[in-house]
Amino acid sequence: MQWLYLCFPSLQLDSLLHQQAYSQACVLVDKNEVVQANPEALQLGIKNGTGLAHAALLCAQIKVIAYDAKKEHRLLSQLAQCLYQTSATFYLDPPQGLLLQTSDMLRLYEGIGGYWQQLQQPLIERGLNYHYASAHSPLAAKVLAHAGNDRLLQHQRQVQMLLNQLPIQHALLDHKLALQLERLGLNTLGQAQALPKSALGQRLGKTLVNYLHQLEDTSAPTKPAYQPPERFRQRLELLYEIEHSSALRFPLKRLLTDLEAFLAPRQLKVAQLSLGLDYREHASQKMHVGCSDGEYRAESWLSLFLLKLEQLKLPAPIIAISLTTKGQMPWAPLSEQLFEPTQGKLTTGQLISRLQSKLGDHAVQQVYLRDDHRPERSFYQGAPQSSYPTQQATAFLRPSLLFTLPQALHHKPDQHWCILSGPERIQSGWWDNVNICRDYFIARNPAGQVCWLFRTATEDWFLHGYFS
Amino acid sequence: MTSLQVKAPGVDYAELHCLTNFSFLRAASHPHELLQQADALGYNALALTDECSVAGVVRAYQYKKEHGLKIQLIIGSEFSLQPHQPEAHERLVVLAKNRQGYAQLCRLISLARSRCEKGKYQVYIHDFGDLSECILIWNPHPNSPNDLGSHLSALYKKNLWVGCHRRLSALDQRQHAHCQAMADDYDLPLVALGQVIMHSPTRQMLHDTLTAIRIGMPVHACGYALQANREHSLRTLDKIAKLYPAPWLQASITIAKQCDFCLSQLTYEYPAELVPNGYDANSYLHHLVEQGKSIRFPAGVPHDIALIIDKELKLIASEGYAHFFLTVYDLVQFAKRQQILYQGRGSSANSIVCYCLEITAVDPRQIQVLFERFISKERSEPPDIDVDFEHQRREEIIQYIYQKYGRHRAALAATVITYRFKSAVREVGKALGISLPQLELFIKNVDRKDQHTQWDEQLKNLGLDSQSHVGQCFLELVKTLQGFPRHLSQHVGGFIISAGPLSELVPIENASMAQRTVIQWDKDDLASLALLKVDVLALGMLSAIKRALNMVQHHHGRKLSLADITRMDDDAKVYEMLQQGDSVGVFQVESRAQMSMLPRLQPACFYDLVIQIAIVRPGPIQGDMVHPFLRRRAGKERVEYPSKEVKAVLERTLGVPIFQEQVIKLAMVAANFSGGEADRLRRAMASWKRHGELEKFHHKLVDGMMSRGYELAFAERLYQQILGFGEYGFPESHSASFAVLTYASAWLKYHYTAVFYCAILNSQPMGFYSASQLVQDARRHGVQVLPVCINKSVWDHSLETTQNLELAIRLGLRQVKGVRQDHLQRLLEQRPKQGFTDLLQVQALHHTKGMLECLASANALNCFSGHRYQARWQLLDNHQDLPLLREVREAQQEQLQGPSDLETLTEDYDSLRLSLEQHPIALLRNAGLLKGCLATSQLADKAHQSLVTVAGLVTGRQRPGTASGVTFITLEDETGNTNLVVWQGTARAQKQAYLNAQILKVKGILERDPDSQVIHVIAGKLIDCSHLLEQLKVASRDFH
Repeated sequence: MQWLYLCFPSLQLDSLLHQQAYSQACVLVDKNEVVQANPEALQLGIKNGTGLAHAALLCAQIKVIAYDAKKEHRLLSQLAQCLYQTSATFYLDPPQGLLLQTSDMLRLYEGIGGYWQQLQQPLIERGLNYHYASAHSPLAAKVLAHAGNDRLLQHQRQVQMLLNQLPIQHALLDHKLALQLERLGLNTLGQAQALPKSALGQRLGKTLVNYLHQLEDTSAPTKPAYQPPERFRQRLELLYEIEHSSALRFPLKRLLTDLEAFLAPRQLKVAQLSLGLDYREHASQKMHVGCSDGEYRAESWLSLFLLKLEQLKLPAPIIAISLTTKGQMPWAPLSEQLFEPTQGKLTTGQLISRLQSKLGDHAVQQVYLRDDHRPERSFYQGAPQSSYPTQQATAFLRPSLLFTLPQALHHKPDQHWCILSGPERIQSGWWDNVNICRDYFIARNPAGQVCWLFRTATEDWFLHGYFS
Repeated sequence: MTSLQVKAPGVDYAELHCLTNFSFLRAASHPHELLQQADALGYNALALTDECSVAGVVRAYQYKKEHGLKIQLIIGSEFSLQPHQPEAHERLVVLAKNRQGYAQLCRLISLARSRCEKGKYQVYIHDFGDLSECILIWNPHPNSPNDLGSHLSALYKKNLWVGCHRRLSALDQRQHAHCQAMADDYDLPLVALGQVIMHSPTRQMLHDTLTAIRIGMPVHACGYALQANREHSLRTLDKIAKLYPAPWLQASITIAKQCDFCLSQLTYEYPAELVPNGYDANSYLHHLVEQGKSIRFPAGVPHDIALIIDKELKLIASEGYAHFFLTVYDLVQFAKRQQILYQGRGSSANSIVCYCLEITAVDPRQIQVLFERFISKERSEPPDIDVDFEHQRREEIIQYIYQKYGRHRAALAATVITYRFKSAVREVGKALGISLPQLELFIKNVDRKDQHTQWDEQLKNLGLDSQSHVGQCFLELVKTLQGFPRHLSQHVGGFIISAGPLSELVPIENASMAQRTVIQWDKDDLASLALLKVDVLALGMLSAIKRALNMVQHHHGRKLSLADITRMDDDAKVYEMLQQGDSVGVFQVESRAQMSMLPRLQPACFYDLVIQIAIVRPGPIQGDMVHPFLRRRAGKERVEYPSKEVKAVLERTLGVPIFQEQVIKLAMVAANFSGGEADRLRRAMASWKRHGELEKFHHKLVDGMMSRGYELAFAERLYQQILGFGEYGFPESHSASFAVLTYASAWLKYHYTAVFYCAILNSQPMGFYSASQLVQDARRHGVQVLPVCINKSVWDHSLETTQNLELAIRLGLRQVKGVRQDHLQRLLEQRPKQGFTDLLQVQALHHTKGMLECLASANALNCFSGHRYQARWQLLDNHQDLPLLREVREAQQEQLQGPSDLETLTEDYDSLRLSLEQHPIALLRNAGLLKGCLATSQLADKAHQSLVTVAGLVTGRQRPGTASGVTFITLEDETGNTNLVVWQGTARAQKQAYLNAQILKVKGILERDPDSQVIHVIAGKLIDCSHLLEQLKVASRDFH
């Protein structure tokens, strides 16, 4: 047989449960209908298609998680990456299926049995439920796998027998079409196949005829076979152990040159590199260097890495290094480069990268505004972005220097202070349990500074900032 | 409610800008909460100024009246000049100074609302032209268009004020400066405004949540859309005095003093056109009643009845209700001319005047006891008449009203749709950022009927962390939000008709249904203002009876009307039928509970039916009055009365209170309630769900009754009954009107059985039973039912005379799923007299393929081709319509295998929702899959308490709120229905079978009521047998 189809009826749920053991009934729900259920839920009579309300009646404590087709697609891709190590040619059939061409692999694994064993291994490790079937045509394999056939059939005759008995509702036909066939008394695929295709086509349309042809069509799908992601990933076993970080320069340069050779012809650049350092007798370490605008040239990356390596003390001798990339992007030629001399000029992104390399990622932060009445929560610091939308400040008068923490005033403002405006009462924040209740004033202190003060409900006074 | 404040000495203040929760999602307090709080804080006056609405004012007015609050209530409304953007602060508050000003305000609201779809409005500056009798308070926004001030001040020099609020915001100063500048520029006085949106600061949490719901984001992401503080609440006068300059406060009092409009000034004027020249309303009513006497009492009016008529007419005249009766008379006369069947009900509908006016068919001679229930002087409330019409023709009546009085004089009352448990959970949950599946789980899992565990406890059991901050907020918010109005919807049929333009009485706005307008008040509001409304309702049973009467005339040549049937003496045979519980299709007594009550109650006369209808209701059941009544009726318990007064109230129901009226009357005679108190009790019962105000009557009732020597247990039961009525009050007058239809339908069922079932089938969907159940019941009554046929059926089910000269029902094509009436009618018009001869002839007419396929599946084309599969196969052929190829094609047709028994059944149910072939249970039985199971018909021979096994199709699962935890399951087999009682424990232990089974096998104990012989099976073991049909399918497939 040429084709093997694998389908994962509870891919998202299995993956979730694999990460975390859970012994209660748990279901995935899409549009208020159960789409995946764990064995505990099945035990209680909850099936796919059970309405949420009904499921809740059957088990009040059921755990409900939203189904996410995108997530499932991603999981399928991850699975494919893993299977690529055992199988050369296969196709993704999202969200839950994989179609594998087996004929080429049989020689390698000495028969279907050996191949299947290899194939099953990662599925079992990941705790996945799966159904499978092999057949002469991709569609036949898919249909039988979905029907839960779970057999590796060697002969076309066997496949045909199974297809003949397959209830039309399980044939993966469009629901309406399947219903139409049933209402002609054609309850199994075999009964439909027994009628002349032309007569069926005249009555039920091309889709059905195409379907029946496809059941027999042994050729590969027209869509491209799975390709691993086009991401650079390289590991370099060192010929000799390195004991000082400065000695990393040359092997690193080699990797970076290879990276440039990988990226340049593809007209790509990357925003972040991770350097993996494998130590002898010590857990390996990862070092990240970023350039938000993206870069591909070995020279630029090397200078960034060297800044970081200066600070690095090696806990043990290094035996291997590896390089992985993140944030791959196409070259976008900057128009200014054509006419203006660019040397010595840094874009915001480049500046941020330089600073981060020198000071460490967390030392460089950007201030963002947030809509919140509470002054402490009306801004926050986050990782810098080279481009961000300019934010509108509020219409309220706020000081240019705001203390992170208000400073207690030991004396109540007296006659030497001059209240300029207020009170502005801010009493808000019940939802995250950080309630404040303050009366804010703008006042000039005896030194002539314009201050932002507040008084709490307990009559305590605080200084919160200065106006310029 | 926050602590009550003692009024600050010397501070006078009227709050002139206050929104209630009828400014949907903008304010966080009920009208009555605001009024109560303002009164407690010592405010001189409170103006309710909802956004382009006066929908909330009646409730505040009612509250003020009931609690005798001193505070002045001013009626007004707020308008945003930029159409409906709450954030655009250019606002005008309009207050009514007097009745005329109120009319001007209502007109403005109606105008602004009429421009937009439901729930929105648009108002422009030039709309404010005609508000001479109103006060305008302008709250200018610093960015407002410059000409607005000059425009307004030119229009309203005298009545215009600049309103300024102080809410301790960062913008206060700027706002003040601007208000002052505007006041100076246009020489206008300033007045203090509070812009109140909640009665107490504690509602901030709810208000933020409402804001989140309004803008569709979780609270934490709402940012500056939320209020920065709690200053938008009603503040103490001390604080007000500190915040505003004294002249501004004085100004608020000046304005309040100018507003002396009160809702009590609204009087209703009846349409005048109903009275012809030469008459006044009373003399015309007299005249009509005289005419009616000769129709209703051809043999002369009996003396006692004539006396009552005089008494009624006098009362109508003295209360000024003649126009109301004339209005209803006019409607039913129209219905009569159009041959639309109708029946009046309500407290006044069963008066003899109404009988003479042909508003009702309840013959006063059959229910003389009812007359005392006619409108009484001690209750100031207007008479109540609802009229039911055939449901398919009610629209004609509505159109007649619009046509006769015009859209400016007639409109539907509103129904205030409020947040219920589910919507509150959903909206609050979303606002707090709880995931949707989790919320759905909460909603679907909470059992509101569970009397032992409150919903909040249940939510905790479902995994809501009540210790967490969010969990606590959630519970509190859901609790408070319930009962908040969400939007105005149209009442099912309550019309208000006025003499002048209605929009001067109450604002009118568009309903979501095209061409419908509703007023801003609901029916309770109308009642508290003593405004009259006419309920134009739709009733499916009237359509069915009308159809049956037409068929009786057509097939039996006997012309009958509803009144003709009731005028005949009680027919013992009809009652005999009912006594056996044989009541499928009979109005009001066909439910499972009624069916098992019939043999116990043994109704034998018209008044028994009145009781029968009222007794199986939450009121009497919760009050535990059913069993005492049954015992007394069966003569097993002595009928005795604690006093003469009580005897007068309860004599007609053997000393047991059954009807709502009796309960109220009892409160008066046994617990010494005054007329006014009794009236308040009745109101509280009607709005118990909304306010929960019944509790305060508890002590008065129980204490009052005990001090007069009644037993505590009886008093408590009576209170329970009152609570039950609160859920679904059922007065005797309604019951009597319904009993007419009950008797008429039972009479038709007994005397013209085929006609009856045919008419009921044609009126589907209605009633308790599906077409399938009705057809089975008809066949059990010996009526032959014939299959659908393209050559013999018409759209409706029809009657056909068989060879033995009996009437049989020919199923109509309306029963075929997926077929449109207009398409089918066209096909039927093309049908030759002798019928179509072959399928090609039908196909040649080029009707939609879908319809023909549906007909084929329903086996309606059986007369042409061997079976439905073959017919569909032939129909599907695309090339069939080429005439030249016809014969060739026909010769080439593939022959498909015909359907098996099971497939026939499946096809029948799929395409007709019923089958005339074997019952599925019979199929299983014949295939030997139900060994040991008894058929329903065999249960009659089994002894009480014997162990039985039955199996059937589950056709009903009912868990009535009145039966704690018990589920009633109806099992249908080929011989009838078995009633299954499943106790809560049984259901819990066998949840899967209990909830999932479509075919259920049950081992249980048979119980037979010794008096009525009613049989129940108490379920023990439940076995889900739904898979058996699948098994049968596989088995049959293997045989072919």
